[in-house]
Amino acid sequence: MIEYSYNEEKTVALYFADLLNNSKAKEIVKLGVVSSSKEATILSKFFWEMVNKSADGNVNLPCEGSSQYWTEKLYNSIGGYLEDSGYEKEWNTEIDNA
Amino acid sequence: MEQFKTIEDLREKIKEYEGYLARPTRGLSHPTLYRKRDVQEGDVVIKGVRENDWFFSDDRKWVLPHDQMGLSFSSNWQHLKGVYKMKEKHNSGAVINVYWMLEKSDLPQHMKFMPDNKKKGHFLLTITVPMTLYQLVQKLKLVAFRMSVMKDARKVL
Repeated sequence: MIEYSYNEEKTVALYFADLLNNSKAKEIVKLGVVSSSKEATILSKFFWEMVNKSADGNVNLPCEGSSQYWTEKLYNSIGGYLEDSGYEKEWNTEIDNA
Repeated sequence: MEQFKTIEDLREKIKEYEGYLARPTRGLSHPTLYRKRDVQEGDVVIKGVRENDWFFSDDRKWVLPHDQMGLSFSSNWQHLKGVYKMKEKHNSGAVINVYWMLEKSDLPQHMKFMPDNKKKGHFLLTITVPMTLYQLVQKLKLVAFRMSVMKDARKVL
């Protein structure tokens, strides 16, 4: 399971999934589990979609704190989970592509 | 504050030691303290400290010890690369510098680097005793004084 440091991280990720119309990422975040390389790549790409949207500004999150702050937290929570689950390569590839 | 112009300079220096800890920082911003321009709307900055990074007492008069709360640092290149790119995207067009220090550097009293429990390559600069915001800010300034800088690191990361 993806372990978040703060409950708000999951709330923010689900908010972005709706904002970005990314139903596959939303499903993964809801379940909190990645079970294939393909899903790991979907989640990794989704992370950077969140960062890009956050950088565009005008994101009204349903919780306190900025989208920049929460994407920093998600970077470590999602990245840490993917690494521990054997998907370090997929995570790192999307860092390189960002 | 020592400056390194190329990644080779930095790597050669670091090779002499066990490890390093680094933070990407917008040009002309402070490596350990925030200005308003360094954060988005929604974040609270008090005396250069981003409130959400630290564990404050309810009355906000004290900053309390927490081994997973503090200032964020990268301890490997891949983690640093991602943090750098996030910083770059949130500061479009700005130069991003990388400030770094050795993991074993002397820290101000009652400060300690702690590894993130969940993410390798990520450390937090934490405090070990309760202190006032003023005391924390003074210590963060001392840490910054001990950091080196690599200017405009985009081409090497």
